[in-house]
Amino acid sequence: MKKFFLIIFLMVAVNCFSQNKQVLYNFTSVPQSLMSNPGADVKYKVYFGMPFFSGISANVGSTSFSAYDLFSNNGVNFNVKLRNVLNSTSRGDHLNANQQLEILNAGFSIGTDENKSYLSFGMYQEFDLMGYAPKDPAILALDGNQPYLGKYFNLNDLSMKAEILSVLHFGIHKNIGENLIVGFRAKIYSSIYNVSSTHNSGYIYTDTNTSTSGPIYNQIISSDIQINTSGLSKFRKNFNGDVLSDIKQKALFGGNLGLGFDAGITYYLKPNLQFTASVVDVGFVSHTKEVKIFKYKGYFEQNGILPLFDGNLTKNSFDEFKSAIPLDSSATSYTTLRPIKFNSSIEYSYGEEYEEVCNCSNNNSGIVYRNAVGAQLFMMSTPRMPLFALTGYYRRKIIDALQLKVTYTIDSYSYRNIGLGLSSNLGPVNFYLMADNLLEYQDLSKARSLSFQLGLNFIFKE
Amino acid sequence: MKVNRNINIILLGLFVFLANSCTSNLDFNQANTIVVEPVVVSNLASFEIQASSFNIGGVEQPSLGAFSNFDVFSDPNLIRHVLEADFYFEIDKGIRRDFTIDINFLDVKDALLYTISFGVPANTSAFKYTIPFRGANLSLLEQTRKLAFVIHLNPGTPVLTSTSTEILKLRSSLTAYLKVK
Repeated sequence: MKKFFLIIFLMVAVNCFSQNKQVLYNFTSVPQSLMSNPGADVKYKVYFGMPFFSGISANVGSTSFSAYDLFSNNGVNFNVKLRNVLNSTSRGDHLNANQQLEILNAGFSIGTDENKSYLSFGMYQEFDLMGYAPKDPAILALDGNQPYLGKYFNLNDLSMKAEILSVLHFGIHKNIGENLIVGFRAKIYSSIYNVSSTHNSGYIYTDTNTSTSGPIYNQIISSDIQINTSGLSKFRKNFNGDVLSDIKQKALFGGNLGLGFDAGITYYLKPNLQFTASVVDVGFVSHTKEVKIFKYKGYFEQNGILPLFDGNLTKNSFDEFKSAIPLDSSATSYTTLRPIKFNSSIEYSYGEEYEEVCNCSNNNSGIVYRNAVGAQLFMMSTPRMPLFALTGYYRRKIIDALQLKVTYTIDSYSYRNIGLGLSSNLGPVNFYLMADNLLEYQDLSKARSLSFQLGLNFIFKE
Repeated sequence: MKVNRNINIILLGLFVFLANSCTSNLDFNQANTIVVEPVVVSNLASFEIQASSFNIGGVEQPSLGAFSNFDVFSDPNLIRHVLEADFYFEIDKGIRRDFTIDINFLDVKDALLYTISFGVPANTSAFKYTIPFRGANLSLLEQTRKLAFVIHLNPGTPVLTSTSTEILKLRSSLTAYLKVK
């Protein structure tokens, strides 16, 4: 029970960190930039990532508290710190964690200089978690209902979804004319494990009955809660199998399948003025295997025992509650939508220099720019309101083998998110490392959000 | 070129800064000290009885009784977190006779575990009674499976007849003080 309370409070306190990869976006010296915009202006002849090491990324974060706020060894009672965290959290706060591991990623160019296209393909594993702060249920668990007579504890505060899935993708990227590049990526999702409970409603209400008749309290529980799960049913009955082999089997199209796509463009308004836009993960997963759906649906007025004085035994109110709001389970299939991400940028480049080997196929006519400044917009769909982030950035080619990108991001959670990315090329070996919220690195325990991306690729340029 | 060199130094300096990040002293074992103390109120029972109910076939009955299942505290995982459970009773517009109300706590074999008993004077308009269960008494709640509500009419007058119009109203609540470590 102690763990239950801790989990509830952590869910309350942990907040959003979106899946924004603002440093990676349009950082085209890194092939993985194609994953956030299949129409990114990359110029490789061939690239392939080191299997399992080409793309490792994770985002975690919190806006209302940090590890320091809860676990600092500062002599303040943990329960006081916990209470402070709860008080600083609102029902709109949410957790959004994301992790990706590229298993395979490769691409190559085809066609002539006048009609060039790029094909890319690969597979990656992804973990997504999004949970809104269950503020009201947490208050109820912490204080009970006695201090809150007359308050409706909203059950629609309970909203979360989590998924582990693998994604097989195949993308095409084509130059159309001199100024426009378009890209499209088809995706097949294989969901390994899924839990979603995002459209709950209801309330728990207690207030003093002011009438001289009837029970002392007006107590109502109105519940419409549904928890969808897939891939997990075998774990409910003392699963003795091999979890790893279960994951492998489901990752290789043995899970619940879905389809999706990414699309993107790069358009040059001028040789040094670039516009990009992309949508990522427009898709769904149909959950038909190992499905278990749990429902708590009903309405119950808790009037207590109502003795009959007629010789018959009266049911207790808990039995009546279980009849009024029963736990139903079923194996009906359901569909989940992937969180759609939208990115867009406008970029101005300056500091002309000429490539030693001219690539005159595009609008650059052999000109490359040492510096670029730009702005990016990021949006992501959620079960409630979309998330937004606005980023300004500066990118610089320090030497041919080293590029850096610095970002400054403003979103709902931070007004001082500075990110930094490095992409180095030593011969065909490309290594990249990106991180954000650098100001928090003064004391990581106080960081409310952190993310990183790193990987190793082999790139053979044109 | 000087500007470029300075930019390079600044950017590379940021990476040095990144590599030299630090963290404050954290103690995750503090989570083991979590204590939650919710206070939960709930209706316990309520009824309204016509005084005429005490007269059956022209004969005044000395008592009326009712049974109800009651096993809310039977779960050991719940009762071990209960510090105190207060049973609160309210009597309103009593009948024109002194009476006594017994609430008997019965175990799984219907054996008597405990009795809450309180006398109510005639014509009571707002009688209130609270009894707390603490310490060893809480184990009685854990064993309880039924409650028996018994209303005893004390000897006296007036005799309750089939035309008596008064109403005895009882309502009660339960306040549970929990402590979860």
